[in-house]
Amino acid sequence: MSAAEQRTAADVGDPAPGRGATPARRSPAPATTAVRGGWLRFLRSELWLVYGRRRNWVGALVLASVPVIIAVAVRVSPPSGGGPGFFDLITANGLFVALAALTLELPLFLPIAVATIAGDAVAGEANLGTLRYLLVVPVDRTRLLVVKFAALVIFTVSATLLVAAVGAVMGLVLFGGGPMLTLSGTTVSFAAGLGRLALVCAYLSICLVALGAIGLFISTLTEQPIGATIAVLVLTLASQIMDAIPQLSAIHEYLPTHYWLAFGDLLRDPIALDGLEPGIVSALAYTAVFTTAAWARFTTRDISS
Amino acid sequence: MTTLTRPGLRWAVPTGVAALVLGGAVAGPALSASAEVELPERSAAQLLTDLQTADVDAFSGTVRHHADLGLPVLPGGMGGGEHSTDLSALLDGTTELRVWAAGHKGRVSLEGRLGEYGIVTDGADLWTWSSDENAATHVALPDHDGDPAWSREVPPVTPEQVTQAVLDALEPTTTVTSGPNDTVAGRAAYELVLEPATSGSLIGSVRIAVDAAEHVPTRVQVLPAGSSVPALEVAFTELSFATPADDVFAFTPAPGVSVEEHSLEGHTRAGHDGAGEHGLPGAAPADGAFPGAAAGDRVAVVGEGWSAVVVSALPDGADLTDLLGAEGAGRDAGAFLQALPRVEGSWGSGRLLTSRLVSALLTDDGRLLVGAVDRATLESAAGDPAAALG
Repeated sequence: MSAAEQRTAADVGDPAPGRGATPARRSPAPATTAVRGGWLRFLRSELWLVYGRRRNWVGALVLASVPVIIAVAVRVSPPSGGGPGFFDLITANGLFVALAALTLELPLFLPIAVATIAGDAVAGEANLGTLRYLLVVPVDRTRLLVVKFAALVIFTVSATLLVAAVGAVMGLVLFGGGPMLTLSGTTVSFAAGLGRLALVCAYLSICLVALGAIGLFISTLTEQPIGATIAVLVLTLASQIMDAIPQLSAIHEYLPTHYWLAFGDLLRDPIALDGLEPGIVSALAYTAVFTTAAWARFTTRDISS
Repeated sequence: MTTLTRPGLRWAVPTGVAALVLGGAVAGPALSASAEVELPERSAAQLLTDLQTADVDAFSGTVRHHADLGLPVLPGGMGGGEHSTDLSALLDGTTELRVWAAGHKGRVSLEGRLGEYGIVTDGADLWTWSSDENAATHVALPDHDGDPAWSREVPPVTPEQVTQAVLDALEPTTTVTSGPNDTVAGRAAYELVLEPATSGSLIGSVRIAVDAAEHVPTRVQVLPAGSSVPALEVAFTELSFATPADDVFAFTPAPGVSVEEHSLEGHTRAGHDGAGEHGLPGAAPADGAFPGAAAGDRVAVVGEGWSAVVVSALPDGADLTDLLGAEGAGRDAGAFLQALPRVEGSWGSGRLLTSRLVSALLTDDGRLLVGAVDRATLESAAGDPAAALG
């Protein structure tokens, strides 16, 4: 399935295939008459590009399958203590399916999803040759990048929520709800447990958006979307490997993945905010540096394809 | 687009942001650390008095524990590593503990990445909790009605307790001076410096930061002789003297949590011998990490003060590998012992473990000598008649 065909689906009703032939549909109103409606339409078109692609649907299916597999596996053969993450707590409270799934998908699956979308953002258009047409319209490059980033943020949040929601629903159906055990050994009410899960999703989204910002920057450097995606993944894995080497402890706090697992601090009683703070600061710093770098690169480079 | 028309200038934006972030990360702590702390002059003796008369009933905060003992790398799985909830994590690396205290209530949480080891007491019950094991232990505490000895039985975990332990050991063998003022956990602090007056110790100095306002210790550093990098540091990174809410000290095991009951009478339960000596069965690592401590009466101390060496006999018939042996790790422990250098002298022969702060000698005749002393002192202790253990 080529993206060009998908593009046809995006521009429903347009007989011409490919984005290149229909730049006007996608373009917002000229800058002089720019209104919020133009931004929204632009964003909607971008979101359609992300959520309308069959490839991304398959990706979402993979993300959603992990909590299902976990829930069914634990149901069929309950763990006898131990197991990674929150496995042994699942039988007591279904919400832990969501947390176990997030923990399992955090090192690789979620980064793959974010890296795919981020790598595709600019390089994908350049690769298909649609970027040139898009800019001929003319679309302000800064604005294009802002919309690309907004779509990336929305996708990241939705991917995290998808895993959590499928996990929570599967867990509640198979194991039931009730008060939730915290890492500190105390229990909080079911509603508070849901709240904690929502906070975990919010924190992980912030962390993953930082990764997406790095991907967006790499995507402006190349015309090969796969290359950008792989670069982001290599970076993610390298960061996790370096984080596991004690001799490199001096640089650990600067690694983009270093604070990801700090989401566990949200599951303590009381919540350990001082552990989350550096994680949020680190993620926002990475986001700020790499979105501005993407902007500097994208607004100054020659677009020839 | 009108202000940043030159392409080169645009790169100044991300570069500037990066510089700002990195500058903030690097310069921030450096600035606050180098800031001169102005405090009224206070002598070492006054600080010691301050420490003993400090009247703080409640506090909460975060304690950073950093150990850089220079121990040999432990075989796989042992030692826990960073972000572990295993208490052995305290031997090496950085560990964060959250502490709360209010009167006889107290709580300490060792926070691992996705786990937690906790000790909590509300004055009537004491619980330990391990999220990794999903298990708790429970001890009903005796009625202690203001018994002042009670608080001294808590194992030294917070700077306050560590200091108390150090002060108890203060002898004429120690030089006490005051050091430069500093800022700890954002609070101005005096510094008390204890140095061994005798030779033979690996410890260069013990530095205790004393909070200027509340007179409690907020940081303890142990520096090896001839080094300015602490081998051991326990410091508050956050500290509040507000009374913590009562529910912080409440612990009710959730359904499904396995609870092990312990009684303070007959506290020499198998597997928890080491803890029994502290009077706090639950406070020890659940595995009883140092079975050697169970030797009981077959223990002697050679030398005194900073150069004291503790000699203990291994349990009869104990294989050397048992010393470090959690089950299944016996082979690793054996390999670990094999890797230690062999030493011999007039006292016999054995294997020597050295680190920045502690030396240990395991003799072939089954004695373990441990002390914060150099090798020569340790070996001469091994030859001491008092170390023969009958």
